[in-house]
Amino acid sequence: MSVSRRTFLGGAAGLGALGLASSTGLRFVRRATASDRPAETRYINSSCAICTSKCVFRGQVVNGVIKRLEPEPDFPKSRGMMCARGNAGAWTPYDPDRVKYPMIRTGKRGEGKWRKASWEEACRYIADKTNQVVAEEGGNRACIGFASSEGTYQEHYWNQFRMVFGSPNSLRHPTLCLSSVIRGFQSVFGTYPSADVRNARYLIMAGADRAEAIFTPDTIDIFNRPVGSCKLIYLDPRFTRTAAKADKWLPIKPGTDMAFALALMHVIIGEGLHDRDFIDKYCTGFAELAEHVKQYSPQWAEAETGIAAADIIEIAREFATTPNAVFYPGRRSSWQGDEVQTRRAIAMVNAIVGAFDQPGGLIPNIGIPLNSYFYEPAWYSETQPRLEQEDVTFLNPRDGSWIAWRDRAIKGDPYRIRGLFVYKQNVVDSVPDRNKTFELFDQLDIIVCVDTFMSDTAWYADVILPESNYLERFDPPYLLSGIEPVVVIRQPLIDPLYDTKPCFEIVRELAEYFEDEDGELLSSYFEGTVEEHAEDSVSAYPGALDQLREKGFFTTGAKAGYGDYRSGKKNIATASGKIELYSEDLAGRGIEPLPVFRAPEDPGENRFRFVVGRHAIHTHSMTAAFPELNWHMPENAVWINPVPAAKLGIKTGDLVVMQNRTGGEVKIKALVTEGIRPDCVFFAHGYGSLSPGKPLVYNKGATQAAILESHFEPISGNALMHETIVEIRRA
Amino acid sequence: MSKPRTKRWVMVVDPRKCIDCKACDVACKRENKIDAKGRRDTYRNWITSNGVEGVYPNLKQRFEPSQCQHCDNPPCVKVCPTSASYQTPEGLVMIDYKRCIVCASCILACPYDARYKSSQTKVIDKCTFCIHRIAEDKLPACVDTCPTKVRVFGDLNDPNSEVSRLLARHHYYVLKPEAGTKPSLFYLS
Repeated sequence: MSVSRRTFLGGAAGLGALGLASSTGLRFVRRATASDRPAETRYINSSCAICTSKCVFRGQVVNGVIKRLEPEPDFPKSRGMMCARGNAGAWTPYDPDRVKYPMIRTGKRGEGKWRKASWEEACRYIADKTNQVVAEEGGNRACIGFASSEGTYQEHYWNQFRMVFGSPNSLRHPTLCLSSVIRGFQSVFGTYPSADVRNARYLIMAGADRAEAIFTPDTIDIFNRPVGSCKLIYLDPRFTRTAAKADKWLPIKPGTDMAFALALMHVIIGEGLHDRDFIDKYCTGFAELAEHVKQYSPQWAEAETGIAAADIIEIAREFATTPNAVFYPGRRSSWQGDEVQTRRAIAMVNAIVGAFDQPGGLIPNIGIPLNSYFYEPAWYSETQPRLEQEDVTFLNPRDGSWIAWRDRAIKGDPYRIRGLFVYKQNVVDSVPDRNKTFELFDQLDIIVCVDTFMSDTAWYADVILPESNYLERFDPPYLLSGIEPVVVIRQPLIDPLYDTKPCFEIVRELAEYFEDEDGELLSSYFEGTVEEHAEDSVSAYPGALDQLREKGFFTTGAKAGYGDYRSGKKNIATASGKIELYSEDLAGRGIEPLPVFRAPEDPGENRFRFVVGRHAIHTHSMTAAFPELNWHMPENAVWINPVPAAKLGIKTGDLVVMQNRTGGEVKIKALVTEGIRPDCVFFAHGYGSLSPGKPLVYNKGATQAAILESHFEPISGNALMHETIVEIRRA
Repeated sequence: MSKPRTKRWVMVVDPRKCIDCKACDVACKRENKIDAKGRRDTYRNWITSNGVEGVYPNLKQRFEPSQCQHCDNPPCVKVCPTSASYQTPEGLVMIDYKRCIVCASCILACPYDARYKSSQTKVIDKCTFCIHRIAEDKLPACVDTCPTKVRVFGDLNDPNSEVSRLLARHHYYVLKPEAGTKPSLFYLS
């Protein structure tokens, strides 16, 4: 009997349905089906969620399964690339250990005993506990803290829930990251600008490691350039990939970047290389600055920074005389001591050579105005200020200051914190000094975590509400401002695989179990759908939503031009309308109006300063357990220079114990390398997980959260990640 | 009617632009459904580095992206007893997986260590220049995804292709020229 394959397949399907096929037969049928049926391939554009860059990709879905997240070649911000992390993100919906349904803790915190719950049960549990503690605190709704993070385009719904619930205590990531650089540059330029690195011909970068801390479009614009078209001077205690690519690597003593910047200005002004015309027209306070930097000679700076005076002089001259030179502002800025003043000094180096509003210089970002999401505010007759209101000069009410807030919360000063609601932020692994975080947790009656996977924070929560993965979710349009602003969107590549929901639905459902002061359900404040909000946000631009759905991004073609501030078309957004070298504003607040250098503490004999840093395959604590990324670094190790290593008898691969000054301790393997200053040690973040939900890094290596001491600076509230001194010995 | 000119697929690599970010490796693994399952020998492309060279603070580090060199004179094809390894007219060295008997002669013959025994397919595997993507007019995954565009892919028989123009304008070298393999990867220097 001869049958065509097509007929045979049809017949076989019938047999299968009747349950008559033998097991061998079934296997054969399956193979025939797989090889004969053409794969159904769909492409859906969306945007990445693995770091802050939000690259748009073409999602390739084959027979309903995500195969690739390919770069979208037309997406301007990424210059049409997709990094290792973005590629590896395709795995995340299929992570076998992800949170698949709401869970309520049954054992002790961190013991890993859970029961599966319905959404209704989980929400009711949260509401009962929360309403009870609020009642115990005399109706003080501020007793619940709300932590959240960027990365999702639904964070505003989380914020809305906090606002209608009535707590001022919002905690976001910026004070673990860039609050200080924003504040520093704002005080000088009235804004935190981008650097036009694509057109820069001379670039000084301090620690921002753009080869490993990939940030679009800067990383691409710096390293995908004709060789020799831009000179890169790189300062870092560690020999990073950026150092490997730099024309000059200067292993600066940590905490002395301000001294370097002050000495540059000493040389530039002393030799008359500053841009007099620009300074006269656009700056105030130059005379004070010129007088101030007289004390900071290159010879003085050599002793402080470890960078030769001759190098400082040469760099200052080259910087001031090369057109299109810029000192990169640096995003990563949570280092040491006078962090805001350090950033101010770097801003001023740019200002005095006119590296502003011109090709290759600092360019204030522009946006694409979107209709903002509107909701009715809730009214409460009695409210409390934020917990750490008095501790920080410029406290951003939505960002808070993590370290200052946690210190207050532990002390219950001025009021008690009884619960913490966390959305996506991995508090346990991200905030320095994990012991203190647990000290706080021990005082809390309710910890709620909304996340897609079992982070260490989820592992220590009382209730976990699973959010749909970024590849399963529709997120409303989100503006990425910059020199070339662009609006991005997220749309599902696949239907949610498990009983998960997007943030909007989670908070709206949760709100059904809470009331405001007048007895109105909080859910009444949530209107519409995410799709409707999306439509509304771009309604000023006909066809924008269609383009967003088709391409994953939308742009008006607007680009920040050059000369808009110089011509007076746009105003410098400081109080004086000028670039403020001497800050009357800071002086009025009792803060030094010009950056004054104070030498960092010497770690002392056989002690080291712990420095943090990035790796191109990882985003903070999120990615270390992604299989394709973990393959490149199954475990982290502490970098130590061969000279101190020999003194301590430490060899590569040895297990060592590191201790800080406040009781923090980690065990980790050593990596003896020339690529670090002898007075510093470093290890990559994201390992040593407490949660078995990240099996590849569970108890493997160490986390920075366990070794970092907690310090913050009081102007911006930024955490200081380079104020940790450690001892190290063989285990 | 003139016969369409045969293409000669090559890759021009600018190692000076490589930042060792591993995007090429991860994109390749996803594109070609390679699950390393923790095995250290499972990859089709890689970035060679001697680590940090020199003594602090006089240091340097170099990165050299690599993969199957798709040699014009491929030793792997010569030693294959079953003709599983073969060359296409466009200059690609391919493996007919059905014919592979896993004798591993090709692994020994390849001067570039480009081949490995796959624990997934149980036969020998290596880079294909993403031939299935070329058929769809797409670039190989490693080329497409690279942030700094280290690799440029194209037809050397087309004098106007970017690869032809790059090789006409720049100094370049090949890996292990002494092996006489005539590789299809050209490194700018």
